[in-house]
Amino acid sequence: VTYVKFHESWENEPSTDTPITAEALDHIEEGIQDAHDAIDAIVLEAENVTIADAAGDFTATTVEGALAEIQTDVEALSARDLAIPWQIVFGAQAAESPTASFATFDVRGNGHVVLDFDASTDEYMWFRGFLPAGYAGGGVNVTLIWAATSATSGNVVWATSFEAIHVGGHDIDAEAIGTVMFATAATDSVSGDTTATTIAHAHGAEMDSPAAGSMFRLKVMRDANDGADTMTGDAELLMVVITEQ
Amino acid sequence: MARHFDGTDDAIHIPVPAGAATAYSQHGLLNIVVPPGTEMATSWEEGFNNAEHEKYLLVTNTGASHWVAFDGASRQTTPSAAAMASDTWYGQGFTQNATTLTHYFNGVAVGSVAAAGIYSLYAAPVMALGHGTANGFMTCRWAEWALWSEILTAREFAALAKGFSPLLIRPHALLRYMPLLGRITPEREYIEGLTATHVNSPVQYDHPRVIMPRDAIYLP
Repeated sequence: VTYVKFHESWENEPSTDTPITAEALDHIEEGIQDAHDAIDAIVLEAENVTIADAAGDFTATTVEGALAEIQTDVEALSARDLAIPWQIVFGAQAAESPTASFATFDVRGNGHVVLDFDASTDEYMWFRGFLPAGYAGGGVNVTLIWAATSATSGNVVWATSFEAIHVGGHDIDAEAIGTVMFATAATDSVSGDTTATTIAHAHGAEMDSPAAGSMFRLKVMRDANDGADTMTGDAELLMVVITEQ
Repeated sequence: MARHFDGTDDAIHIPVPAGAATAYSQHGLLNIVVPPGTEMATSWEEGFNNAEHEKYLLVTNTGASHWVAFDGASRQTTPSAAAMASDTWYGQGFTQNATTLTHYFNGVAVGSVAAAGIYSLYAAPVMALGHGTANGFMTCRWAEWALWSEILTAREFAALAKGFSPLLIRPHALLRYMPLLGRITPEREYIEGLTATHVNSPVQYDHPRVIMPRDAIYLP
């Protein structure tokens, strides 16, 4: 409540226009009391902000219903709720080599670490990762960032596949990948310029049906003996990015 | 930090398994001072302290290098590699199968000689960095020495010569890896945690570039 002064302007003697009466003094005291009550009310508001750790609930209420109650589950505010897709980024050095038919490490130009994939023999590498717990089961896109060693024309056939490592349900002594997905991509007209090739993997067989919050391996291969792979020389892979669809 | 060998009496000895004898490869990064004197930068000793059976990397006064295989009766020598310049890192390695030793210099096969995979008289080889059998100490520096139980390709030797860590090259076949960082004495071997034997006091030297394995990055 807005405080209204008893007299707008007190006057000294000999004026009798503003006498000091019990009514005037009560008015002043009530104003002081109201001010203290308002201060106390502010403290009460602060006490009514709570966070329940167990449930992740954030609750804020105000006295006398001046503001509506706000309540939300803080832990549920994941990147997915904010519509930000997660990504897993592998540099060339994150690759794991099979025992045969592997791509070889190399350094390109100004110190760029790359993996060389041969032009005539199928070669591949593994990239080990962990599917985020927030994966909603909508599939992923695999983007390969690569360049040609020397070619300025021709196509590369890339093949990517997933191997879900189900806890207690996958024998790591044997390779068991999901559906292999292919993309035929033209190299850049400048051999040192990179090309980004994206291969979509729907959830299910194309991802070997992984569970959210589980381990997987991504197999990246140049299908060099495919007739559509026409680029001469090595394809140099710089980076692999998995993005949630 | 690598290790510097003074050419007088410094060496580091690394025990290597006899089981590598069927087919194996070894590689390290070598840095010399020219003229080095015609000395042995390293040697693969079978029956350590016995000069009768060994394979050693001989560096001549010009900085040229070749491997010599000595079976107790005759020496077989690979063709010389291009001369090394002073204070420059080079990839030096060899592959050995049951019959042939091939020298790789900076990722290129220089040549091969007939040599037995292992000399049957001795079972437990030692890799001696900085010298030959009991002499031939050489002023040089070694870093990133490793041994594999498989035959590496020229392209893999080329990657190693460019500084890729041995941890990135056929890790399933990596038997020994000695980074030679010079931080602790004696040096520790990476795969089995073995302790090297230091002969006198090889000191620290600036390490060459090493490209290490790297994990995935998760965003956000």
